[in-house]
Amino acid sequence: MHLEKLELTNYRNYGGATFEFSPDVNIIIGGNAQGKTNILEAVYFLSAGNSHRAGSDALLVKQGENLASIRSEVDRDGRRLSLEVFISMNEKKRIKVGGVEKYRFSDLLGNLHAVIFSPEDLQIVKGGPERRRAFLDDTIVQISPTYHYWRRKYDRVLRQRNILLKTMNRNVDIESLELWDRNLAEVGTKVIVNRIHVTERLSQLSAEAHKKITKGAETLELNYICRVSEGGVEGPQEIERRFIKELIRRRKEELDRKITLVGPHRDDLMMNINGLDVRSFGSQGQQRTVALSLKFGQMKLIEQEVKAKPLLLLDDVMSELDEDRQSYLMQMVRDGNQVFITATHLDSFAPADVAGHNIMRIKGGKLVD
Amino acid sequence: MYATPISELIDELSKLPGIGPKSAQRLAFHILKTNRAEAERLAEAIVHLKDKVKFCPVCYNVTDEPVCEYCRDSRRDDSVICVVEEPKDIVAMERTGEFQGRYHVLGAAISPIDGVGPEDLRIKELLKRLEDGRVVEIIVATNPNIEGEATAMYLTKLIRPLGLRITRLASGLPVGGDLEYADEVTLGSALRGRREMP
Ligand SMILES: Nc1ncnc2c1ncn2[C@@H]1O[C@H](COP(=O)(O)OP(=O)(O)OP(=O)(O)O)[C@@H](O)[C@H]1O
Ligand SMILES: [Mg+2]
Ligand SMILES: [Zn+2]
Repeated sequence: MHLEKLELTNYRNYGGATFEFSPDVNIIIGGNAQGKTNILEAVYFLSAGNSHRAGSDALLVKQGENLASIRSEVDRDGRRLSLEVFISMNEKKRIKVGGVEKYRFSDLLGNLHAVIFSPEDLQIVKGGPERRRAFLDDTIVQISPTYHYWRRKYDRVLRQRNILLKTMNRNVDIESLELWDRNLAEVGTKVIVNRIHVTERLSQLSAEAHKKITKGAETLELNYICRVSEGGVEGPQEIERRFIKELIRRRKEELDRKITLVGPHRDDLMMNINGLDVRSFGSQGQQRTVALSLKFGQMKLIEQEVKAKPLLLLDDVMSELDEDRQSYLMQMVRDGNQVFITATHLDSFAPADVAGHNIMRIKGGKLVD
Repeated sequence: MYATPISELIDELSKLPGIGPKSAQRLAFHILKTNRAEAERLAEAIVHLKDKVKFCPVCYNVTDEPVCEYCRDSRRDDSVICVVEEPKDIVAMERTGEFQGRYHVLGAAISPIDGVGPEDLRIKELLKRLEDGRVVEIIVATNPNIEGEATAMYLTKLIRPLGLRITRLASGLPVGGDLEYADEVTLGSALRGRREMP
């Protein structure tokens, strides 16, 4: 699987630009704020259906424009497939796969797989729980075709329920609230089950990477922290039952605070090194290594699940990592994956790492030769 | 900004569902460019709609007759009522050619985001139709999205004590979709494969 061609129109700082890529290593060089990350972001969008950094799609549309597009040609085992995304300021985003318009956005997913490594990864470890939930969700979306649907549905149920809690008359509308309790528990359970499952797999695969990077010194372990599956559960039915019970137990508090307090939107991912919580006890360096290990875990998991090597998008990682981690990274990525690396200067690479690769220079949203 | 007549039209158009300010502006300028006869036809069509089309007093489908065609048709089966959210869902059901019973239009689905609670749906009117005991089955054909599901759950809870058979369209419908976008074959098989509500 690799990306052959990318065409950006009114995307971020690109008015119109076409890129052709090597199936091996592509090095994107340019000064700060010239549009390097924007290219990786667009590629990632094709695989995940959202940006890895922007909260809102509207930010992706070039200032002053109405419609942005990301158009691409992908090679899948020798077969060419075009993937196109159209992001509008005032309408729903649209997609075409193989030239055919698809009405479900999730039809985009599963056609191209990518893992992005960027300085912001550190926030998965250091940031708030929403960063870790997003990391899990972004992983699941790439390997489970239905997860995007359930995840969006959960957001919708949650919004409905929160608005009901804000507007309802607590003496007469309890029956209405119970409708949304059932919906929340049913859909929320799907989210939880997926996240528990993917955490188990990631824990093992990230631990393997972590062991290698730390030369055997550290054992990494991941745990999904979720009130309604605490202490282990038998299966989805039990989670759903406990979900409902928890909603009933906390109903008064929810009515007082007018917000949903139970569900996967409040869960977290716990990361331990040799039994200690990395967030509280880890050094800066350890936290960086864990972030890297998580991404390697994600990469391996996608590779195992889709039986193809995902694209690796390495944004500015050279400036962030010490030599040991850099060399481990370079060694890991030389494994048949198509790679995209950004850097401000070519001399941040060892000459041997550059030889024979496709080098592209970017300036002010344009490709320069 | 624009001359008053233009901005007035833009304001009115942007009140329509799915029309943002930009689209409203585009439509307004399109209308400005058309000739007078065409603009009059559009204006008349809108006024006619309001004057001529009424809700059927039995099922709340839209109709330009005193009672709608499905309620009038004596060959249809009185023992089954298919409950839908909107009149356009009747059109989708009729396209399948699989259903010969009666309809009931709720008018919307429960959705706190849109300020729609159970009391805003035509549920009392439905219960009234069940009083004479002729109806033995209710098919809940609300959309297969969360609002439609919540509405189906609510109805089921309410109707269950009456001892009727309550069914829901089988899955196989496009997930998260709307009935009006389902093709006839899918919707037809969803109807044949309908399941009892839990
Ligand atoms: N919606 C937008 N419309 C126009 N320009 C935008 C938009 N969003 C971002 N930009 C511009 O894109 C540029 C940033 O691009 P990008 O993040 O790719 O930079 P970079 O080359 O990765 O820089 P760095 O080396 O600092 O990471 C900035 O100049 C920013 O103003
Ligand atoms: Mg950058
Ligand atoms: Zn009628």
